Amino acid sequence: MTPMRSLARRRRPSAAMLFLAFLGLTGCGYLKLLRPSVLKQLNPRVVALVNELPRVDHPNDAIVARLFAQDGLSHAKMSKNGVMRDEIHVPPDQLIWEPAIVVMPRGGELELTFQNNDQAMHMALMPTNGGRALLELPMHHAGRVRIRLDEPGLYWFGCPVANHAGRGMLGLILVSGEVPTEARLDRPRQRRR
Amino acid sequence: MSTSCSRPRRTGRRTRAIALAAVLAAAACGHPARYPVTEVARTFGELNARLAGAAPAVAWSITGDRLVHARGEPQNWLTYYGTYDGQRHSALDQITTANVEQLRPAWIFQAGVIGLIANPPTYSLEATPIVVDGVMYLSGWDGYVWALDAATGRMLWQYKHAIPLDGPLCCGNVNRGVAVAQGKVYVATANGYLVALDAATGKPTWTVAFADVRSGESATGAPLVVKDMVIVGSSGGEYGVRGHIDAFDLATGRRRWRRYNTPRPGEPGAESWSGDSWARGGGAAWVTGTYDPELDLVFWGTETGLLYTPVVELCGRFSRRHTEFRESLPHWGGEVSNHGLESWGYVRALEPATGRVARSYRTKHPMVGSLLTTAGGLVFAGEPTGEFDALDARTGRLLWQFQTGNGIHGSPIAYSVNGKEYVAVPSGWGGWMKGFAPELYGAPRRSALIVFALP
Repeated sequence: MTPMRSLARRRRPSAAMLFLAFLGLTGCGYLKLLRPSVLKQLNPRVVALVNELPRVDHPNDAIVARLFAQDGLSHAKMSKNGVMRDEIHVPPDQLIWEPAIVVMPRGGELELTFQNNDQAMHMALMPTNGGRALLELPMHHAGRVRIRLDEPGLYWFGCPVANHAGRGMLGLILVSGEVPTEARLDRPRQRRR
Repeated sequence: MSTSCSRPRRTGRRTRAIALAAVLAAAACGHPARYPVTEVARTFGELNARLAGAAPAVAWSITGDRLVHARGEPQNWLTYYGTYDGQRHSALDQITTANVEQLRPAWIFQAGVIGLIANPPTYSLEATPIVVDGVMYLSGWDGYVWALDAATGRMLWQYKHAIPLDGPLCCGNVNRGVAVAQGKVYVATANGYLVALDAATGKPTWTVAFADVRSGESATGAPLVVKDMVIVGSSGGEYGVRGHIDAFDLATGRRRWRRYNTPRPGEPGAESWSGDSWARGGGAAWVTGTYDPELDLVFWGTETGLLYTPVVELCGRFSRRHTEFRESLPHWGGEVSNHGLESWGYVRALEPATGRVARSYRTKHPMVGSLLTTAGGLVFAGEPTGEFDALDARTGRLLWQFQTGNGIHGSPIAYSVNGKEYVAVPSGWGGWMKGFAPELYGAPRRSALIVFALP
């Protein structure tokens, strides 16, 4: 084994390290933008729309642009005991929920952990069967709420402090799926939109 | 030796470079700080100081047999129409034609909207309250049910079912009332569930899905308890559904039967449905039925001495329109317009045997709430502009009127607690106003139950 060959062998791990670093970085949302499914949406109309939205009404850019933006959506994870879980952050000085949209794969129990990274008091007023749930979120605190939504549909949650909801702290919970079999109509399958 | 000495130095540089890259990557990805979970959620209602939290256990003694004899206990209003025959007549006679002018508000229950609701311009208080031995059970829009002290109006408990924003509501975010029996309060929710609440605490004991929001169904009607079953009809005829009536076991919620209101091929009446029109023929059943205990028959409508009735006089133009059916989208086969056309109403008395109009009290707007007649010789009627009227049942003359502050779209009832007679009327404008009173579309929306008594 010559010194030259042993040096070349030693350089190989650094390439592997770089590859590992790249893999680590792919956890970052920016690199996910390079996926083909994202790239094919980059038509001029969509790009113009996305860029225009915050400027349409600058004081309200949070609710106008961010609430419905794709990066404000999260799919709740199903845990072993059947409870769905997700985490929502309140970033500083923006009056938004991140994510603003939580998708439940089906009806059931959803446990949300809220992290208030803002230097302001917030609350989460949540829909749940029985009565709304209210979670207080002092600045730099975290809280947890478990809600029950059995039925498919679109539900809202918001911050009832001041007009935080009107400025952007409105969120949506989407319950996917169909109603239980026994509630469905006895008729041939019908065409949907 | 020299190579082996240089190795650790190189590895150290590499480690430092990777660590730096990781820090930069973390900074670029912007992971926010995480705090330990210290806060737990509470039910919004728990923060309500008005809430007593429990109601007396009066509902356990309500059985099918007691409901058959409901006329024998005029102090209560036990079913949607008061009695199984659907007369909406009270045998109470403390408030009469002679003293009705002294009628004054005894208490007011107010409820309002918090946050977003489905179909917000249409919410209204359309329910008939149920009264059992001093406790009133009332349902509201968007999944609300309340238990109130019938003598004071104090809230005893509150239940709120979560109603999605995107439900296929044709007309209004409304509910026509609850049924009470065997210690439970039964309510149909706008998203097609039947919920049985513990009548003492307001906590759900069982919940069952009976209508399909994904195919255009909803539920707004008041259930009816018959024997050991609770019977409820579906809503959604405007969405081309196949309407049905379902019966569930009072105690367990297990379905006993379902009856579709349009026949499948091979079923009686199928010949009147061409092609596959039966599958989306509508026939929803949101008007509560009646029950004849002697014949043991339930009578249920689909879509739609003297007999007093509220009258809507409204012209409309119907134009046929062919639309291709899409499940969960409106499907009428046409379009109704009453734009610019005149409308008015009556409280009208008919002779039951002949249908002859005996007398009419004309109102400015179509009458959309139910009437109440009492043994005190009175007819109570609520107008869309908020006037609550007491008419003389013999002459049809207006004896007393109270402005409730908002349009009346619900059903008045009479009951008594500790020997004192009360008359209650829900006041809250909403529903499908464009369809039945287009001139009042811009009227304000409120929501209150106003209860009257003699001084």
